[in-house]
Amino acid sequence: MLERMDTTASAPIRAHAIDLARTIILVQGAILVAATIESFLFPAAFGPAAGIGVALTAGAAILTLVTAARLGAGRDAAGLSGLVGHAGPGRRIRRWTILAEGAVIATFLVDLGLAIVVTGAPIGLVALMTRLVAPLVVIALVRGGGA
Amino acid sequence: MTAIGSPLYDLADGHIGALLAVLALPLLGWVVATTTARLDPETSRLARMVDGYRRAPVARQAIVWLLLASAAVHAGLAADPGHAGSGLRGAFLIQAGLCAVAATRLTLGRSWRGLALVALLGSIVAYWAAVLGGEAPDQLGIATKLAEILAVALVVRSTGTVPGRGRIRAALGGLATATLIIALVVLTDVAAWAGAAQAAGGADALAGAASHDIGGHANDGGEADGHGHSHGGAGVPAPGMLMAIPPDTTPTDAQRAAAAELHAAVTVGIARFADPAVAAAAGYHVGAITGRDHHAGNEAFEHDGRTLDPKRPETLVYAEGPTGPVLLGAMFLMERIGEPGPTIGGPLTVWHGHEQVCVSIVPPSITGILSPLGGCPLGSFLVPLTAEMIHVWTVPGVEQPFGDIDPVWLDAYLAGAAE
Repeated sequence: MLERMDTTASAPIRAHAIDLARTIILVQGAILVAATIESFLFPAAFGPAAGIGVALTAGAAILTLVTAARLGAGRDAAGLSGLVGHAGPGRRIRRWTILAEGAVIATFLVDLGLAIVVTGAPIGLVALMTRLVAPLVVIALVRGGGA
Repeated sequence: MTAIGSPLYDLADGHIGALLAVLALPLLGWVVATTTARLDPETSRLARMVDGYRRAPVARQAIVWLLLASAAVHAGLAADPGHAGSGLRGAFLIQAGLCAVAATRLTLGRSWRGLALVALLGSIVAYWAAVLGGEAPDQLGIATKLAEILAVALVVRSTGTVPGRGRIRAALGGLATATLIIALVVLTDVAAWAGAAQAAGGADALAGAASHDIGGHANDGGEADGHGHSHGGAGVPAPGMLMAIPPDTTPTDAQRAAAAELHAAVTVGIARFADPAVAAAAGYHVGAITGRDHHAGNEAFEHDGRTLDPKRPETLVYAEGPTGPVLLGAMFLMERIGEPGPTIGGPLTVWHGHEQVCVSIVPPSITGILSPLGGCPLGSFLVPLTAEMIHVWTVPGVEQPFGDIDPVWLDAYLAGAAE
């Protein structure tokens, strides 16, 4: 009974955390849409081989935007959608979000390591914000919001 | 020799104060929270604001921080002496004031959304106008716009759904918000690319930087200026280009002679590679020659310890002509990153490099240059810097043997060569 009461009391806090996370994910999805357009145009300058990133980037954009829409929509691991509003995300989509954000951070760390080794300087402010800070915040919010 | 890159990937000199202002925000927040801890919210407005902030949901707390960050950046920009008397200082102060007032009203529980949206959207649109008008975009500007777009998304979503209006209305609202945010991000990206290209001298410069030679740079002995913070005009490299600043803008007679000697030696040295089959037999990866700047590299020559050997250039450059491949010249490449190329012709033979290049492993190829939004196409990793290189164009009649080939001239030459 006490556990249930505590869960009920903390639900709005979790819901707001998830709402902030899905808004950040929405912006990440928008960035991937812009990157898809860039990938579509790059072959004109770099040759056909540059087009290999289009499908991957477009796929990531769609998945990210779908995640932004579904996270917090109340779907559980079985895909049921009985909960309305901000009752907390399904476990599967939470795990997927954390995994995807972790992958973003991992690629950032690879690029950062290469930049430091080659140039002795870190990567720019925008990459730091979009590929490290934002994913870390999302992971923290999703973990906290789904606790 | 000092090299400069596109300001798109750097922090402009005049923007350091603004960055420090935003970095100081957490400290300021801590000071305010500590100071107001002993004050009575009934009598102190500041204490009421802190209390209102603490009671607010995390999404609204984020809006407060994002509004204050935008205010701090614009206040920092207003304080920059470089903006004195330009009319921008007033605009920056107004934007900073609007954001600060909106954040204040939010914490006090007063109407704030309209003001916040006006301040944020006004700032974003003004930035598009500024970069399209000649202001070279930089990291702080783009980061600030992304933060403001996130704030817009949070403000729009904070209105929430109307109870009892059903899922369809909520879905439509979500779709409209997503469309707005995607449009804002994409247009900011487009404005950044366009602004960077404009600062470098137009869209041709951007395409030239990307395609690795034509139109991206010039070794004509002219001035190579541009220093990070440009409020208009050409003079900075295109994104992806890294240009060395020549030590002297006027070549000496000895430098002219050395450059001419190099050009003549390379013309003779690579003449045999006019036949791509001979080049392939020598180890160049010729492949199928397409386009106007087909680069064929030779890995063995890239690591042979020789620099500027006229008979063994690291790369050959071909164009696809109407009647077959045409050898345009050679590209010499330094063996190690960071090692400066010998400028034997002074300002006539300025080497260049590339920065922020996106490369895929499978297949090994260049997939683009780093987006203003901070990423490469998926499946690629970022190569922050390449070794220095210089082109030597041996095709007869070329105007700049060590610089650019005018694409119009090249088309005419190839058409003439076919006749």
